[in-house]
Amino acid sequence: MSLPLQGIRILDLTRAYAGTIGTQYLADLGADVIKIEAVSRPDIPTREMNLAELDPGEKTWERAAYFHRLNIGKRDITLDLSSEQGRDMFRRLVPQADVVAENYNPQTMRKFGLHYEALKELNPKIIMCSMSGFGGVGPRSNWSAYAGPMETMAGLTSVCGYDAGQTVGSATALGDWSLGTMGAISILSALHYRNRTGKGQYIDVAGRDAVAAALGEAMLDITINDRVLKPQESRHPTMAPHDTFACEEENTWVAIAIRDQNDWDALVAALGNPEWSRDPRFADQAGRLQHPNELRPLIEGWTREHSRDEAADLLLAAGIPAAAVLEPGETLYDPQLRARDYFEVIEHPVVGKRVFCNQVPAHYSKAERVPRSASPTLGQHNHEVLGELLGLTEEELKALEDEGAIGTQPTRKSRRPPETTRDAVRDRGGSADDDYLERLSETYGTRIGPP
Amino acid sequence: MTDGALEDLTILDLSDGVSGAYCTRWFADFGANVIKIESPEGSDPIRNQGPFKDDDPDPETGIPHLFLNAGKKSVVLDIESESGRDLVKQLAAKADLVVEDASPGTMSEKGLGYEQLRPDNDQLVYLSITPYGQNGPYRDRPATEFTLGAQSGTLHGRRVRGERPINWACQQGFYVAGRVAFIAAMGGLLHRQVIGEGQYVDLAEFEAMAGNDNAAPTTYSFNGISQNPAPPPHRFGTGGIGSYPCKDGYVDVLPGVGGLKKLAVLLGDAELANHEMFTNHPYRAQHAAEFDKEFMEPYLKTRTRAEIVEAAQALGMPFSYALAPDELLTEPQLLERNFFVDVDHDVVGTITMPGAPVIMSETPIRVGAAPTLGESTVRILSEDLNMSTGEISGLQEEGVIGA
Repeated sequence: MSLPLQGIRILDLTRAYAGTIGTQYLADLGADVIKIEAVSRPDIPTREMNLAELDPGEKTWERAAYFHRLNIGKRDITLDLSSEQGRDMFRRLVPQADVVAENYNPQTMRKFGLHYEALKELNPKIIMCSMSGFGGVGPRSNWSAYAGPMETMAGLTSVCGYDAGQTVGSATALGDWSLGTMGAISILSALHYRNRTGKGQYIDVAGRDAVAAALGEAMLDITINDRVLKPQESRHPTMAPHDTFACEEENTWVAIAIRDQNDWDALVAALGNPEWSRDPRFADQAGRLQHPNELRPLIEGWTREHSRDEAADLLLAAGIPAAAVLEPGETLYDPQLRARDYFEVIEHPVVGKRVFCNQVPAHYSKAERVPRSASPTLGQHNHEVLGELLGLTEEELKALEDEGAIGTQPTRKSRRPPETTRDAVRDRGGSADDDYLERLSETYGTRIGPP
Repeated sequence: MTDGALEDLTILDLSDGVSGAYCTRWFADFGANVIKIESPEGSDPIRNQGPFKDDDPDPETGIPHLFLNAGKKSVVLDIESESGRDLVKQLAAKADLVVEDASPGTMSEKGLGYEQLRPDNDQLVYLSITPYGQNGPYRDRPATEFTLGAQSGTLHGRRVRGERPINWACQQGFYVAGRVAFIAAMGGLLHRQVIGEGQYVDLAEFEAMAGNDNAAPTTYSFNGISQNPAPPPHRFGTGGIGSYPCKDGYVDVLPGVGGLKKLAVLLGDAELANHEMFTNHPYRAQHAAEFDKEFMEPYLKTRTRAEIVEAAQALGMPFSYALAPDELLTEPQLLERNFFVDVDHDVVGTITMPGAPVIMSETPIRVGAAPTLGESTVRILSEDLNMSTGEISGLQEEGVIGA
């Protein structure tokens, strides 16, 4: 058994979320992804966000859920591209790689002298993928963006919100995700092209454009119908009711989608044929589509009397698409995701066993799921990679360590945000479990938590 | 630069949902030959989804269809008939990838499952897209993009404090799944280089959507935080970060890593950077309302979204504001990158569409027009399957294929 991208090597200069989620897809397809950080500029603040047990511990930079989540199965070396020595070693790696991925500001790789034309001299077949917020060319190419700006400037936020005018963001970093996946999609296509023609190429991905590219339904309503889509809350063009309904406990909801008359009849029966269901305004889909705000409190009269899971189960049993609105943490206990091994327990030397999703959740008939290695510690593979690929001897590596050119500890000051606590999260309306390690250990049948 | 990256590939698209359509749309954009099989009645669900041009329902003018099926070829044949299924088998024998999204087991019952197509084409990659996957306790549950989003943990956070969570606009959950489906299919296609044959790929929309998680499930396994507090509504009082009212709407204030010095410059006084409000983060958080009253409000209230964002971005801070779809059409960066493309459609005329979010140096990404129903039926049967005019008209008379 082998994996789809077996034998493909990626030099990964990406940091934070947007680029690293892109190379995570490629790592989970089996590529050898070599992440490159500098001891003076490691992937911070990503390496300091969402710490294990909310405890900075001794090696804070190895304790962040955010970093671990985005770097599973990658190898890690430390090279400082702002030094000639670091750039020299990078240049010697390029001929042995298939892909270089980066998400610096568009000027940075050129400043380093490591832009595509320079890398192509070293390896004519190299595929280089630059991932930035607004793209590498154009009057706003220097604008910086996190996930939020990529969503707002793409039009997504303007169509996602409440009737009163309040808009909301994705809450899932869709901007970053879209940039990263478009990077992965383009790289996969370029690898196919290279297999056919022997040619590499340069790829310039714009994150904002990656979000906007999926909003054709809103854009064509403008260009064809001259109509600007307004926020729809949860409403759907043909399904109604189509909403989240509050349940018994505070901050719990059930999502219900009524596709057609059969669903409606089943819903009415499940709710015990209430008097209001015979209101002529609700007689057909057309009427229900026009009266979502009248239906909401009536249906909530029923959902508020049930727990979220109970409400979802009763409606599902009636054949209606309904689902508990799960908190992200609750998905770790979902029976379907568990049954299909969507989550995997992976052990790391500093944080111990934790739970990770598979970024490419597809089940392949000829590519077996193999256990993935943990996300790397800083510089974990310096000797392995620089020794094997550049032929550096132990003495040479030791000398580089003594000079501080490579290493396993950041030399940069921490930029860690102030600590939070689970109580503080709960006080502000969030949700947290104090017994998460016990619950997860029981569910996954192995001791989750610090070594 | 004329060849699309995937122009040597033929995709047989048997799917009729949004995830499958968006997956194969990318194949079409990268130059692959995408053949969409449709039923003779024109009952494809995407063709029948509104909004329509001028709100006049017509299977040729639905906006989801015009966007999602752009650049594909439409072949009409009756997959319920024996001869229709035989044609599908013949097309699959020449294809690189089959994409289908029927309920688990359906395609095998029709004789069009992977095991039945493989004997005639061992290079075939066969991608099945279903809500929950081909196995597991929820396999046969009813689901929609909305309920899958709720269950995947990605909907819960899409709200502001005190309000209910809301769904994406424009079926974005299925667009997420469609991109992952493309990645999964390319995995199978590239794997042929390693193993010399195709394979079966089982993808669950539920899992694909769950992967757009902002690291939250893993975070729970690190520290027990299951969901962060919802952000507050647009307002003053958040201490220099968040969505604020300004002269002509709202602006997203985001100083970024180490950005408070830059914020001081933006507010017109670099010296402010030494003020305790700017240096002491916990102190500022405790006095957020005062901070905003004294520093943010006077600046923001007198300036427009565009002015504020231009000035902040010039200082390297990732401020932004919510552009409406119509405002995108004149955004200078998108125009410079030729993001929008004009496509000529036989029924609707010229359509301006969002194009590629990527510029590739060797291989163009092209957005074509959506096909009219069955426009390629005769050509593909005669050119790809070498059928004679007589055979084709025989099938037409039987009602197996469209006119």
